[in-house]
Amino acid sequence: MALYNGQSRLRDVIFSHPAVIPVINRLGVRLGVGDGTIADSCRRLGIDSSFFLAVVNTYINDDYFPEDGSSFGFRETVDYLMKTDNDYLRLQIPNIERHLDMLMTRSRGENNLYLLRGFFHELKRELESCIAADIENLFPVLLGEDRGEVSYSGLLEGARHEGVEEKIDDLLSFFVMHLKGEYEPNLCVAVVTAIFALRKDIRQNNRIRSRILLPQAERLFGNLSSNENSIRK
Amino acid sequence: MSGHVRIALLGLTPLETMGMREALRSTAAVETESFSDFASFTPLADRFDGYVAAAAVFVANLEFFMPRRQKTIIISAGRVMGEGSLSGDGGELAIMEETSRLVAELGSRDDAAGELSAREKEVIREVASGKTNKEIADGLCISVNTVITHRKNIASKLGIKSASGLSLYAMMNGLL
Repeated sequence: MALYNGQSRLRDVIFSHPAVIPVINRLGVRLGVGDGTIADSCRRLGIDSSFFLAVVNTYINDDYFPEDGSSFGFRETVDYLMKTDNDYLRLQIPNIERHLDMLMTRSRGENNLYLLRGFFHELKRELESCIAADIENLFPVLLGEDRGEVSYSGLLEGARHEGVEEKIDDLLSFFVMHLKGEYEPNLCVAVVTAIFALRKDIRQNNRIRSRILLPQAERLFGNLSSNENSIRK
Repeated sequence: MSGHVRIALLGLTPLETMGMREALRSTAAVETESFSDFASFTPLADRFDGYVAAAAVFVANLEFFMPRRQKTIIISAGRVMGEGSLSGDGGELAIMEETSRLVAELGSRDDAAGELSAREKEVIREVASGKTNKEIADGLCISVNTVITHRKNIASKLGIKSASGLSLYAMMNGLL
């Protein structure tokens, strides 16, 4: 898959990969992008184009690994991930929940939707707990705002939301493979589509955490002496 | 043939044959048949799902075994010499672990599409009761690697990996 560069047209990126729309929103770009290049749009909006390209290419292309994460700042990465967490909490999870509730209400007859809703709530609680850990531990430490000492390896271990990724795959399998009984089909499509969208976002953002955030963190804290296993803030 | 696997024991010593039968008995629903030479096995080869062969038999019949090497465990002087992948120190423990793993894989491969074997249902019940892989292995007298193989097979059939997902599946399907 071709990589995008500063001379690529932003509209081409969006037409080819519509799933990238929430990503560019988090980066500060709204729809109505016109015909300009990525470099033009970033310049106009005051966005670091190398960071924009690193995030968009990592999100779109599974094989892409940004070569030089040192050309943009830590704060941009953390800000992007904070907005991502916020999107999950404020938009995507409530959207799934709303559609799931409507699906339950409008589905007549016997089904196992109530069990699937219970599993969704478990997933929601786990995602909320990961986000709370991001907000209370990971981000303040990475931005140097916290005090005290924290285990560096433990911190980075919690930086990926792998348990959530596994559970969301399971939730999709329950809908796709194990849904039983009568249900309202259109609302079910809406629920499943919203879960697929959240799964893609979580999976791709976990790659952004692995491929951009963690290498940045390693570079930033790698200067600590080799016998020091904690971050001093 | 849910969970039922047929294994041919080829050119093993009487002691190796007895040990292998004992190991397989505690692993899963397995039928074994031993052959002292390859010629007597050839007409019946299609009946078997997997093979445990003496190294000499393996080497002398590469044309048969190479396409089936993922289903074959090779034994030499009481040690595992190879199969799909070598592991462990090759000693008796390795033989038992590799055999359990092979049987778990073969059992899963031969099940009807998506149908869980009796052993896989047992593993789901154990996972649903909150046990770790190690605790499940100890309880069922199998190795942790075999538990992991069962869990991979379950995930591939059901699309469910997490412990809480498997608990829900168990509840939905009356396995608890």
